[in-house]
Amino acid sequence: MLIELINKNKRHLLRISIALCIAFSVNQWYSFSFQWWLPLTTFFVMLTDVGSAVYQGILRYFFILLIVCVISWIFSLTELMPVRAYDMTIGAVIGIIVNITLFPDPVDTYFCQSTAMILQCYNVYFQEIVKLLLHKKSIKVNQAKLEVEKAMLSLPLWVYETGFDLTLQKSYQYFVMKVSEMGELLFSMHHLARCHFSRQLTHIIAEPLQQSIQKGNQFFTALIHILHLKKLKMTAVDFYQEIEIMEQHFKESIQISTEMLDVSKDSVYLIEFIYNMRELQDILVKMSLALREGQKLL
Amino acid sequence: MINKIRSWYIKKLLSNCLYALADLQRAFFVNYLKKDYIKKRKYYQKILNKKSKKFFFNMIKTSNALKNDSPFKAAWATVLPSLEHENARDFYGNHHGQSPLPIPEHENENNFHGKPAWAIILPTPGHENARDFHGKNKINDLNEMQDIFFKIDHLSEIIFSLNQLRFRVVDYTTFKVCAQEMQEIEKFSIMMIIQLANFKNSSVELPIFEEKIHQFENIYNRALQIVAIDPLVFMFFIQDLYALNEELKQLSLAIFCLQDKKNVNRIN
Repeated sequence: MLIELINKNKRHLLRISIALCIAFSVNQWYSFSFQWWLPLTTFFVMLTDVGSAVYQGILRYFFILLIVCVISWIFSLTELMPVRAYDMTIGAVIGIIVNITLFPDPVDTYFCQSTAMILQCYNVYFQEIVKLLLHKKSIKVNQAKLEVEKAMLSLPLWVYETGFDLTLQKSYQYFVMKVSEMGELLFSMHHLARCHFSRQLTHIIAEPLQQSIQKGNQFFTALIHILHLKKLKMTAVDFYQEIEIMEQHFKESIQISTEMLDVSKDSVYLIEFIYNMRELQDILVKMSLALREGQKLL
Repeated sequence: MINKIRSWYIKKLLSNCLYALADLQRAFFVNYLKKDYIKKRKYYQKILNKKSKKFFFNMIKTSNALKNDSPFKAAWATVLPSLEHENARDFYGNHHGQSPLPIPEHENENNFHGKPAWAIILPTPGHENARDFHGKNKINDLNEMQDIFFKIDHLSEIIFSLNQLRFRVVDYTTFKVCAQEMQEIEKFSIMMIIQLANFKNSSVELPIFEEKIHQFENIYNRALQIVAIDPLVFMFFIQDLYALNEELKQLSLAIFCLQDKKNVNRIN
């Protein structure tokens, strides 16, 4: 992840350096004002997010132009305004063109790598949570959570930015929303798994829960495989059946009153845990369906 | 000195975590109180993602600062153990009429919570003073801060669990029924988290917050059970609210203990 981030930043730095070299050269020979507005605009329009270089670049150009106009008007320097505007326009053109043509950001690669890494962390975290629930202790669960938190920092939030590629925007945003939703669900499950359930309660759902770990693992691995654009060797099977068995066992063992108010705290927590498992399964299925549709389109 | 700076730094980080958490809680509750929360879910989710990123960043920073191998602790671990051992031997030897203690073989090994082994093995008459004597109160500060960190971690999990409600209820009119109660819960929970972030005692608000939860439970019994498509999700919400209250209580107590100890040290 770090290498990828460094590469991304290095790439941007390289682009800015080259653009500034061009801008300084042009400023030397073709500038009208000789006031360094040209390289300044080039630098300013290049400070954009991944995948929205043109839109944000143009927006930044108009913004800096407006500021310079206002300042010139305040200090009564309007006679120099046309030459400044000319320089700034050239600077903006250089900045935007270099930003989109030279070492352009591979948006899809960035996106797939960061989401795959997050899903990998989710997979480990999910397994540790279930272990915590069943065995009442898990040494690695806190470490796994920390890894998830670290991975979440690389969540590609640039897909939300205005000006991001319209053809990709909707699907990428959907995917990011689902990934963050899944993270919240896992945190919720961690909180529920901390509760000290009686052995009797955990025993009745232990077997289907163990099976759902395996199937969940298969699902996560399949998603990561697709995100890495690899051919899928295994088939992932959902764990709806296991969840149903869990619910069935649970209902059989606990007398749930119609108002659901007499149920103990432990039972409510366990019901919520199973509810979360179902939601997690739903998200996994939706994500895999979305990816399958995407592959078909490709 | 280095311990003081470290202690202050970690306290600052913990405070930042709590501020970020309060911010996150506010962003979550916006969903319930806005009519367009389903229509503009993307927009709200974007804000939420940014806030949670900020919170995670603060948590990771704090976790790194609390690690045993952080630069502050490493410096402390190399410079102080020898001095401390001498002090401890003098202290226990001279003040309690005992012969100087033999140096334990594993004197440099740090065990759980970073205490040198002898600090556990030695009997501790006049516990507080003994700790003050060789600066051990600073290490315990660190342990307490670690405890506070874990509590904040758990608090965040509860907040994430609590706010699953926004995905589970897809009808704004349901929230309209309990809008006032929701607002009260939002107001008091955020107020308490901010007070804890300022390291102030929030125990005054705790019973009020509990009262607000009872009010929400009442509205659940009277109306939400009938109106809501899936009333079960509101029961989860109430259960998580109680868990939040309990965790806030625990956190308040931990912070109070830390502050109290500091005051005692200052008086001494």
